[in-house]
Amino acid sequence: MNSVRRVLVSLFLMWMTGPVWSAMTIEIVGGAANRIVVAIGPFGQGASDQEDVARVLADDLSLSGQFRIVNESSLQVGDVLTAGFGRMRKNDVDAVVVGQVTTLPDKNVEVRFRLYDAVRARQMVGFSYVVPPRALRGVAHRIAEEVHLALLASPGAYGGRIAYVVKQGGRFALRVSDTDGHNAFSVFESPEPVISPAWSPDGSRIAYVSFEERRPIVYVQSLEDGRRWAVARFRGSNSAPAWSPDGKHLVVALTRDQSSQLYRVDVLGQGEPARLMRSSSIDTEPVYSPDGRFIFFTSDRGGSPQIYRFELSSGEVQRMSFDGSYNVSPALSKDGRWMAFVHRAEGAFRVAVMDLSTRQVQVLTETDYDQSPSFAPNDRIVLYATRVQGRGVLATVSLDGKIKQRLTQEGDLREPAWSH
Amino acid sequence: MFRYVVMGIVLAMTLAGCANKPSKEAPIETRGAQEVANKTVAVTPIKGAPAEPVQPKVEPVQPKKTLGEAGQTRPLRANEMQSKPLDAQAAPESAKTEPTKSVVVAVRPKVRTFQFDYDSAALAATDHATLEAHGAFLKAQPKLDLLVQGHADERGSREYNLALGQRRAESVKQALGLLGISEARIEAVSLGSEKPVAEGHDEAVWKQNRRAVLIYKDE
Repeated sequence: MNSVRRVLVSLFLMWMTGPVWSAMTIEIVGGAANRIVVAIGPFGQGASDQEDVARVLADDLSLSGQFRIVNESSLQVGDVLTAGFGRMRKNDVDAVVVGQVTTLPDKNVEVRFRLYDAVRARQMVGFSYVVPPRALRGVAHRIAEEVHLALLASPGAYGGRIAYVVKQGGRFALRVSDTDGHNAFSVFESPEPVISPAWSPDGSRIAYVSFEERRPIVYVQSLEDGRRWAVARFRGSNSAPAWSPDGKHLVVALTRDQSSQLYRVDVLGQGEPARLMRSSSIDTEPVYSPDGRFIFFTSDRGGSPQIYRFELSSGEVQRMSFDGSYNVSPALSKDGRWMAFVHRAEGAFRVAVMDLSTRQVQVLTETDYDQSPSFAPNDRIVLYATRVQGRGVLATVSLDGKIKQRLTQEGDLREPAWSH
Repeated sequence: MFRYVVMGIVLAMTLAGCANKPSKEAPIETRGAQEVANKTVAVTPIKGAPAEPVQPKVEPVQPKKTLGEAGQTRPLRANEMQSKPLDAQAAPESAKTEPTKSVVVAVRPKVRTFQFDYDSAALAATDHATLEAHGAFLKAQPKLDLLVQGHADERGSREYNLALGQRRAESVKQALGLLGISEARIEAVSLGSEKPVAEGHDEAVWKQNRRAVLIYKDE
């Protein structure tokens, strides 16, 4: 139901505003040193217009940078056990996926799959899903999650959604798509800039900053019915929305009292904003810790922009970043263990990650204009914006810095945010 | 140093009986005009005592909402209801046809942009003359408000740049405050790194983009 409504809102917005945004291309620019080789057999199709589950699954797994996919066009359910795994092992296959798509009398579709360990010659997982045909892509992402978890003993990042801003032909669009770039639609389009999208904890709403009134104003928009409302429209600049873990409040940066300061506002924009701290410096880019105890933020109170954290219960402020003269844009992993941020060294702005328990910092990228990091739902990948050959692109990097993706489409991409 | 712009303003009214009545909407007032006159050009006040040598001549113009009380010969149309108060920009056609009538002079400093060092909101010593010129103009135009837009170059965090642009705009606002301009008349906003004046990715471009820009509210 929601997705139908979303499509309608999207179509309405397209009709209202005209431009057709191109599809996103995702490529691996750096993969794991030793990729697991997975053979995938055809799942078959219930109807010709249905999604090819095996293909979506293969794309998912190979784009993760962790797997090399071998398409086994002749592989059928049941073949594996009878034929044995000898042939697979000859081709260095580590694991085998077989599956089947069957259309049921009620028009729903059943998808079955089994994952085999080709070395030990035994089944690792197997599931059956019954869904309406339009949900087949979602099932393929679910299967990718199961395969990833079984083979790597850690969660993947296949089922989520990302929000990002495209600038093309003098127009700005806040877009949402699946993690693989499919099912993209415009949430909001404007001839003026849009920045800082932030997902509500339940993924049903997005807060963002729009310059449509020639100054920055913070809006919240529902992805279910497209309605939106201003949550911060005060004198001066209103920006940098961050959701509280319960989704009832946002912390924003306002300049209503001159310098940029942090305030808590109601999600419906009602009542007076409550100021969190008093400083004469710039305080901005707030983000809640997942347990709700702290707000991490950027401040130049020490003379250069650095990351601090504010404890809500005590009001204490602690400096978190020390290395270098420019550390900004904090993002926190859901498990509260990692902080990603942008670190400047020798004129280059790069994504770095801090282990919050040891305070050790590792720079993850080699690009020079990184911005706006955010964590994947699995806490193992950071999504960010950067520039390649003068063009704005999105990129991901794994926390060990080894696996890298680049996401491009026509126009300039910026301001990505991964849903939780 | 400063170049002053001379703007002609034609005061036009619908009825002859109004010719000597002060117009509420006239943007120029007598006060302050003398200071401007000292520097550059002859100033003819519209408001207050009649001044030589100009005799305001009545020119019929399109009826405006703001002149409605002076008497209309036909009802206002919907689009006329949205017309602005009669001001310098509202009567360009009359200005063309009667260029020598009711010439009132206002001067606006041409320099509108202040540039900043990286991650800094400090005004340069060389900006002082520009600030004083705008201060004098704002004193001569007590009803005219000012918008100051702060900007940053593209590097680093967009949100931090937004805050930095705000600080640059506030710097200009405070400097004008020190020159005696009420800060209530000055709105400081930031567009961060979202509205570069120059495109490109090198220091020459970044330098141009680290700026604060003054825009008078009637512009």
